[in-house]
Amino acid sequence: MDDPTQRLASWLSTERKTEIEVIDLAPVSAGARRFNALFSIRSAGGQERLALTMIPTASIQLLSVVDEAAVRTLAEHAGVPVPHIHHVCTDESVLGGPFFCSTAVDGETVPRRVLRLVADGDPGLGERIVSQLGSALARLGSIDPVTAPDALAPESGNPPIAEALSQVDTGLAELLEPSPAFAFCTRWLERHAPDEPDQVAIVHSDVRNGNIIVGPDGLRAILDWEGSRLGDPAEDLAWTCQRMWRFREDHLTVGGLGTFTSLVDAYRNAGGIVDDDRVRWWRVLTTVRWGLGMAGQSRAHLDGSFPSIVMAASARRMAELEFDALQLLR
Amino acid sequence: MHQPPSAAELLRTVAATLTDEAVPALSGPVQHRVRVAANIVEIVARECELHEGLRERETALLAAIAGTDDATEVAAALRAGAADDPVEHDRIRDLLLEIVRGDLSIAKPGYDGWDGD
Repeated sequence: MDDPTQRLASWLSTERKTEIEVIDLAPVSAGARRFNALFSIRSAGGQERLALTMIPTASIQLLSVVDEAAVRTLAEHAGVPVPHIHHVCTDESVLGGPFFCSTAVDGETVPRRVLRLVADGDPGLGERIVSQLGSALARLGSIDPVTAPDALAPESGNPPIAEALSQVDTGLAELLEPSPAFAFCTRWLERHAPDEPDQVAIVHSDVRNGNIIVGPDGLRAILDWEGSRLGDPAEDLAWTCQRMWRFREDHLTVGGLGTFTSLVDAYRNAGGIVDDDRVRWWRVLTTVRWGLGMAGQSRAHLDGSFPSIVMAASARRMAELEFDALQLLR
Repeated sequence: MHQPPSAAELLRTVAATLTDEAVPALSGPVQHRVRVAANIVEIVARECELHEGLRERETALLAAIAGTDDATEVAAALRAGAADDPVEHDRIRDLLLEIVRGDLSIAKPGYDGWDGD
């Protein structure tokens, strides 16, 4: 029973109360935080294609698999395209970490392949994907926040705008060398901070080209819900527009796929309310926060808490975010 | 005084060896890390050549922002409101962009070819 395929089959057999065979278990990506694989199950009932998401070290997960599964199920019921979750396992002895199994959705996820598919597909495909993202985000924002798992509320208890400003303030103070550019941007953020949103909503926090599954027909699923939390829904709209998710297709604001107009038109048509200034504020804020996070990764390398050549190089990327943030303040 | 190649030229040879010979022979996470290593070596090669000139330029740009070439003092002045006035905002933003363009010429040449949305 040392074989993970066997252990998974045995666990699924108990879950489904029928004899299950696991075949073709193949890793598709292994990040620092999660392990993703595709596999098929065979039983008397037939064959089914599933995706496995495993968190190798439970201590570094953002949301527990139980909470992540709960958010994804809420999103699915609200009409957001999400791979359906069939099983959640918190017993780490099965695969070495908590995991869940969801429906395997075919399509492209790697950003450059997504852009290739759009370039080779029918002329409206990119804008269609962006519109579908806009509708999906409006539906996500329509979920009653009271139904969200408790773990989604920020530990500080701060409302979203105050919380975001506080994170930037901390990140700026922790820099090992000063950043006049980010000091300038932070002052602007403080002076132009919008009112706290009337109501918080579930924010995915990483909807972008790279976390979506796309086919020739358009958007098929939004992935990677581990960063979900309660916040200002304008943050998700802003994040999809960041330049780093355009992969050199700088003229197409949303993921190199389509225009901001397509995104917000679809968002409004699906019942969402957008204030352009609020989205712009979140674009500046998330750009600065991401840049400060890059510097933080290099500090984690330097102080020995996470030595890694990838983390070491991160701080040299901060200038990209300084540049993008300053360009947003034209 | 060393005979050539210069430090930057040596680093470029290291980067080429990593990219052309090591990367194709590797796979998976190690291949990714070696690609990152090659990129770092290229950054450091550019830094060897450009650092001195850029520091001089940065000093002048900082002084033009807030009357001091101490980056910590400039950052503190900006955080305290030195660019709140709309005219100052535009002037200072452009000076900061020049400083950042200098950093990008080392860290990621070509990234500054975007004028915002």
